[in-house]
Amino acid sequence: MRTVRYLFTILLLTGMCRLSYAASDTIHVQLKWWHQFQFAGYYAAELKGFYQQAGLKVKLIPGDPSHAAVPEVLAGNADFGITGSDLVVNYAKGDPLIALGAIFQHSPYTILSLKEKKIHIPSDLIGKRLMASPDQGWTELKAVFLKEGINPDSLKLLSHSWKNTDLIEDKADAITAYISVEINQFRKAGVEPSFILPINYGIDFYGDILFTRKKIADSDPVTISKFRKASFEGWEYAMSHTGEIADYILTLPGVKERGVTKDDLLVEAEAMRKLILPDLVEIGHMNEGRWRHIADVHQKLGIITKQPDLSGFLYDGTKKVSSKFLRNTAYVLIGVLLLLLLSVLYGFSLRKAVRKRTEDLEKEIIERANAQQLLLISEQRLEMATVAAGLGIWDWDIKSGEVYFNDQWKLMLGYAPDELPNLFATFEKLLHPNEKETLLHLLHEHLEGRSSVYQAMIRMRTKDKRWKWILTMSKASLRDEKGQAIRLSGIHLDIDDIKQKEIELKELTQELMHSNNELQQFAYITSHNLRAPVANLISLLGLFDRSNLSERNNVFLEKMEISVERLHATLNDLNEILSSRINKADREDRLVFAEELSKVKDLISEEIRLREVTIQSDFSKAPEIFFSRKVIHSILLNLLTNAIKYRRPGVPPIIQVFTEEDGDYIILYVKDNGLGIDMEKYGNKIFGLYQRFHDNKDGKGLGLYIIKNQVEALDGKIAVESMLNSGTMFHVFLKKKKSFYE
Amino acid sequence: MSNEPYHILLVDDDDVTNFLSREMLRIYMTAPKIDIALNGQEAIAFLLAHANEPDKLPDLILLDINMPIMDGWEFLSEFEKIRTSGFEKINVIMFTSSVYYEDIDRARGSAIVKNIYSKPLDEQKIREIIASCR
Repeated sequence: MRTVRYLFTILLLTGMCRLSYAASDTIHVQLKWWHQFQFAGYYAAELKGFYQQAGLKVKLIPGDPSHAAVPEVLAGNADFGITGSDLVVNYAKGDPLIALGAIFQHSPYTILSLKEKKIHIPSDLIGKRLMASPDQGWTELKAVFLKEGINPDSLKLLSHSWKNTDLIEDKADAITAYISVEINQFRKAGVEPSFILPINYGIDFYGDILFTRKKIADSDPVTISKFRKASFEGWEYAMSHTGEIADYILTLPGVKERGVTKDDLLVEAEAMRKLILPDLVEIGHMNEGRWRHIADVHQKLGIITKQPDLSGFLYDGTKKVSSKFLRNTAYVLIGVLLLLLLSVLYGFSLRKAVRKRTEDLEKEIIERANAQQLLLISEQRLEMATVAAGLGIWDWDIKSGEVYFNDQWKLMLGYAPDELPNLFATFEKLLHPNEKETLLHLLHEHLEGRSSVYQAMIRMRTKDKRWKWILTMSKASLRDEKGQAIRLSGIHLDIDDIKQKEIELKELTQELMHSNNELQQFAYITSHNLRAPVANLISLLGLFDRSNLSERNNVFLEKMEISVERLHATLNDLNEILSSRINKADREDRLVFAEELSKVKDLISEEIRLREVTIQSDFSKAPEIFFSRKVIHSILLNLLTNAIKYRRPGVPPIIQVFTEEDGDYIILYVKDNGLGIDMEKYGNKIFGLYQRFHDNKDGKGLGLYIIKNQVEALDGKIAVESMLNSGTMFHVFLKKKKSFYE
Repeated sequence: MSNEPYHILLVDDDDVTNFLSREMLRIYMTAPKIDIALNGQEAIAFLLAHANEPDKLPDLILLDINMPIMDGWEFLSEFEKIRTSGFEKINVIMFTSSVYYEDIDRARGSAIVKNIYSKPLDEQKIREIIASCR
């Protein structure tokens, strides 16, 4: 009985308190800005009667550039206010303010510019005109510049006109803005905005904060608690009933007049959802650590002088309310507490468990919030990267036929985002008819799971009726149990420039090959047609009866003979070069080096015997090759005869021939102990035509030229190292071919 | 050598070559019988004209490659068609100013062509040719 009476007294006391406040005053709330979805929770609390149920009479006052929330609350014109996380700066400077809860877990402030202005990172703004307002996020955004090592004085700051047209009309290069509001406004105005987000530069502040004066918090904690609770309840309602609240906002003064539509409000709501995280974080949640970080950033940047004691800044509902309670009702509660002590002790372990669970839950919320934040960052990164790369993205729900195309996908073809329906048919319609069948087949194979990737170069119709080359790539992201794709996503990359270059290059190559063939044909005919009469001349001179010639005519005849011989020799060289030419289509065989070497040795056996040449060989590291026999013979024959020809007088020639594998090549080495070549003098000429480096020899200077051409025609190369009076070693890199058996 | 004079058909469009070949053959052979056709078509016509007179058919054809109207390769494919009607014993030697790998390879690949020689004729070539065609 006693207990019941005391409890009744408590209820009576609190009830009186509430009644007295409600009767005495209307609560004034200074909003940060004019009516928009940004304050949806407060409207919802009003509309759905949450304030009324708590016995509160609330007046929401829209903000404007000359009515910022902090000064209004400080001056007593309003009891509560909504502002950004620069609230902590005011607090640090000694303003008696207290933060009641963070609505936006991440700040919506951004520096907004237009795509055409090509402002992507803070340093792009140096020397540029930025419209900013100290009360509207400039403090936070300034931190981004300072963090990036950019002196904010290097910007030309203009005071904020709050007119988007100023940016469009180039009266400014960038403005500070809300990501949830202005981006949509610019898109609506038909210009594509670009933006710099503080979060990408390590500045992650709270967004909108509900705050009040310390004095109110101290003197009337019950009202604070009620207002806070009803407001957050309103926020929860607003975020799950965005349509209803949007309709209500449209009825508020000034909203329609600004040309705001329901769609605009809904776009804003969705952008806000990413900042508020209503499904993950309790509305109003604040973390002292984060506030300390925010204060820390401001301090490091010299915006505040010393780290404030945050204990008086963060509202602690339970502590404040219970202390007030205790002060007012201490004598009643002592009795109650005594009576309850037993049951308290009894339930202690249970409560401990509950507290533990609550702590776990809080931890989890923070972890999930962090995960969400990381996700947000990675989403933003992806968006920036795709925009920077001009990457089109598509995501096809195969059953419904619906395809998500990002804006870039459409912009690539010259269409505005809303000009093309998000359907597979859109893609099909714009595809080049010549490629349609092949591509759809390729796609089909991939969907059925018969090919693991899908990639093709296709032509697509642009809005201005051109065909544009695009690389489309994908991999089925989801398949059902039968392996059939149910969702396919991928990218589109504009490769038109590259492809055009490729086509030009191909044409050029064809032209070159054609003229090269013509030149070869010409050389062939010329040498052939010259050779026949020269051969005849030689024969005719041979048959010529010179017995009755005068002395003088005999001399002429001799000179004629010499000239014809020279002509004949030159023609032979020309023929040798022409007939040594090789192309990749020529026949190739599996060749065993040892066998080929012995065939070549047979050809020059007389020379070997006569000059007492020793030929050593070791092909154990690479015994065979799939190659042109003609070329291998030509290499061995030329290098061996050269080695013999340029032997050192008095030194019996020793020639070593060996092979080695080296990646894509087999290297054939031919090493001698002969005269050597003065590499400094002749190094770069050695493989040239008609180059001879030794006197009194019968070399024509053709051999190395010919084998170099042959080896290079087959994608190989040839190198030489040599020392005068010591010897020469040739390295012939023969490109490995895949034989037909492999 | 047999009692009958050795009979050679020169198939070449170049007068000087034919003149020279005839001179050389006359120097290094005993009284050869020499006929001349200026292209493949004339050669085929010559053979067909004497199809029924084996005595008048040549023992050896020296065949040039590059000729107008019908070249050496075309002659070979025509000759192949009629060869079994009494021309089996005729030896064909390619005799050309071409020294190209491709031509040489092609000649060696032919079942009819006995060998290929480059112009001009000299004593050694003549002896080799006659020896190989005995």
